[in-house]
Amino acid sequence: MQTATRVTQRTATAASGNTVSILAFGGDISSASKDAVLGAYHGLNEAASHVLLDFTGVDYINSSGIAIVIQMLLEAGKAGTQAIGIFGLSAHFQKVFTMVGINKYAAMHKDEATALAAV
Amino acid sequence: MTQARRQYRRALAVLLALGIAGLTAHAQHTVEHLALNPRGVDGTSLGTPVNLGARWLAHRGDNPAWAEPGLDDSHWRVVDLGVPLAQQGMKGVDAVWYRLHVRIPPNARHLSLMLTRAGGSLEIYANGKLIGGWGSQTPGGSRLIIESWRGAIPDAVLGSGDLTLAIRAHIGNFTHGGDIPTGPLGVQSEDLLGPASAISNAAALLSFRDLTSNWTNLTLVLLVLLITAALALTVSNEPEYKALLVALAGQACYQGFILWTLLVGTHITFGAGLVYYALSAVWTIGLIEFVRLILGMRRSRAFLLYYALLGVISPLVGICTYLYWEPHHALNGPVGVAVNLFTQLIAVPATAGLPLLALWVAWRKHNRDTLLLSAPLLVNASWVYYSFGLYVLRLFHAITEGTYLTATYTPITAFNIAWEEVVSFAFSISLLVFLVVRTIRLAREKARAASEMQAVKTLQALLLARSHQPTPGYAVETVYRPASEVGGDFFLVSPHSDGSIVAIVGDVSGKGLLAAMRVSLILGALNRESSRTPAEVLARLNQVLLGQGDMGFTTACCVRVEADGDYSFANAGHLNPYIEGQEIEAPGVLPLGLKADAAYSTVKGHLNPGERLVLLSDGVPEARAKRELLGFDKLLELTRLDASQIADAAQSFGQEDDITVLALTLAGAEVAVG
Repeated sequence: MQTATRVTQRTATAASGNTVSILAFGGDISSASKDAVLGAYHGLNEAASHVLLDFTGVDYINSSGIAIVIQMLLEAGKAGTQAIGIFGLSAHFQKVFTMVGINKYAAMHKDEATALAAV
Repeated sequence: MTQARRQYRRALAVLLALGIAGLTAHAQHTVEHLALNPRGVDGTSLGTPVNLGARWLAHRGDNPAWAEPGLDDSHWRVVDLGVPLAQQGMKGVDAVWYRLHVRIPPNARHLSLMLTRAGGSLEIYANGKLIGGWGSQTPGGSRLIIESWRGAIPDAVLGSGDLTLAIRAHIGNFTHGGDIPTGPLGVQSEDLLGPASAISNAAALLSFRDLTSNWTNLTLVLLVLLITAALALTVSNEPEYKALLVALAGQACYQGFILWTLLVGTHITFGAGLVYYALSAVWTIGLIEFVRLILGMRRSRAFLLYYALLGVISPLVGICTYLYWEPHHALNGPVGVAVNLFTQLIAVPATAGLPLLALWVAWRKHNRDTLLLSAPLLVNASWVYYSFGLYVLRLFHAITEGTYLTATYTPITAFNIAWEEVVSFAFSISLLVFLVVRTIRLAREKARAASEMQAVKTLQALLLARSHQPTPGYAVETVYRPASEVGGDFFLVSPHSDGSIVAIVGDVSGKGLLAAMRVSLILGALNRESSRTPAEVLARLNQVLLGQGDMGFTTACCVRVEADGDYSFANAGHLNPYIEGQEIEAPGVLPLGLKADAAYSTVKGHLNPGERLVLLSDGVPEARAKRELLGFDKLLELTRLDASQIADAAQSFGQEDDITVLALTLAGAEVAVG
């Protein structure tokens, strides 16, 4: 039984002093999450040059959910104006994200503090 | 009372008439307005009840002595009960007395009097004897009390052959100083005098006539409710039926509540007002949610805000309606008008706007369901359009208030059915038609989709059967267990005359028809593939799948094992192979079909005879029990088992996705063959 995807947006200041937009996801990410996930990403200010994706509250990501994350990262890669980082993934999904090559498009960090320090 | 205050109160009266249409409409009754002489109604034939007629003597003011039969009332005005007192020279009345002289047989005994739908605060006298009444007889003390009253006339006051009926009434709040012909013996009233048994029978018949429309309405709503409940239970993936179920449950309780109030006597009390409007809010919010789901609109913040407003203001309307009729209350004035106007402005668009929204969406999206739904919604809103139109006409003095009330509330049959109730019948029936037509259409569509799905399932089974050819020199066990009718996983085993074997396991994101069609495309491409080099196979498949990103992605792991046990494999975002419980890692690469220039590196190794190489899909590690995943750690032990045992373990843990396991063992030692 899948649960609905929750997305919240907040900002934080990195150690470098840069403002970072953080998209925090919760629940499950699946094919039904497309509008929520991509909608939130598209809703970010275009001027946001640093974006962190927070998966701390995510319970489950299926292959369709991973496809959505990849689509988001490829869009960001095409624009070339945003540096995207990821944190809060469970060990299982860190492995899955690495398997599908997401780590080549987004730096993966253990937690928010580490991610902000790396910006 | 100042002119301004009166204007406010008149406006509020009309707004309340809109708001409490249900109550007042149910308070209607067909009346024969007999033009009898109130100074001498002939009641000498009392075998059957005598209709006391529409004309009574009336006099403004209050004096208990006016109950006496010997009072000289020759100067009292004859009033017509069907016309507002204000139009008969009695404007702004609070207290008023009515009298009627009836000639009865001197030996008449056991008589009863029945007043139907009398309102205000009343005391009823027969030949000077108080025989009944209700409400407060203090100035300004009238409240909205609509009663069907029946009482015995003591034999002790009979015997003279003359019966003088007198009614002391305070009606100020109730009839707005006589502006509205609704009481105490108003247009809705039918007053009968006769033998107690005959009056009892007449009361029973009247109650049956009065309540027929209510019972019919409630029965219809319950019928639609039952059908919707059946749909909600059987079509669990369509939440619109659940929303409609909630709405209809609110409507059924609402109709039942009205019926109950009519059966026990209609009193607008604080609690009754709250319940009435809270049930109305459940109905309205449920209906909007149902329409939103049918229209395919997102439950935006605007919807949630509107629901919250309706939820708050509906009980507020109930409170205002109650307080309005409370004597001397602060809300009984401009503040009450403002609050009521605000609430009406919020509530009315919910009913009036829905059909327009449905028609607009039907026109924009060419959606048949939406067009079909607009019919019951238009029926439901027609009452609001009609009432509002009359209200506007009255506001600009194009029609009188009497015409307004008559056009709005006049019953249309002897069974006392108001126009609003006809609208309610028509709405229930048209909603029923909508549900039936939609259910038939959806059933047909599902049957067609099931037929198409079966065709794809057959095609997929044929393709996968070709995927497993005889494998001399190898023991290959494959297990394929789709999560739904057709799967998004695929595999292929291709032996070669040089003693090598190529095995590939992949996964298409998504499920259902689209994923199954994509699997068919991939298997077709793989069957045509001439290369036996894993990295090349994946690169070519990547080219085939390029530009289909909108359909999701495809992961695949391709392994080639030589006759001497040397193996090589390439991976495109898929799970790595496992040999004897050890994961053979490869660099992470994007899945297929996403980047034209993707390159897939080759990993090489050696498989000893008897060792098992296992390829699997993510349905195994992502089997899920509640929130716990089976996970990668368990794979280390699990992949030492047979393919079927691995699949069984994942399935029993909690299958979420398609499960595919391919176990390949090089012959030459004792091997387990699946």
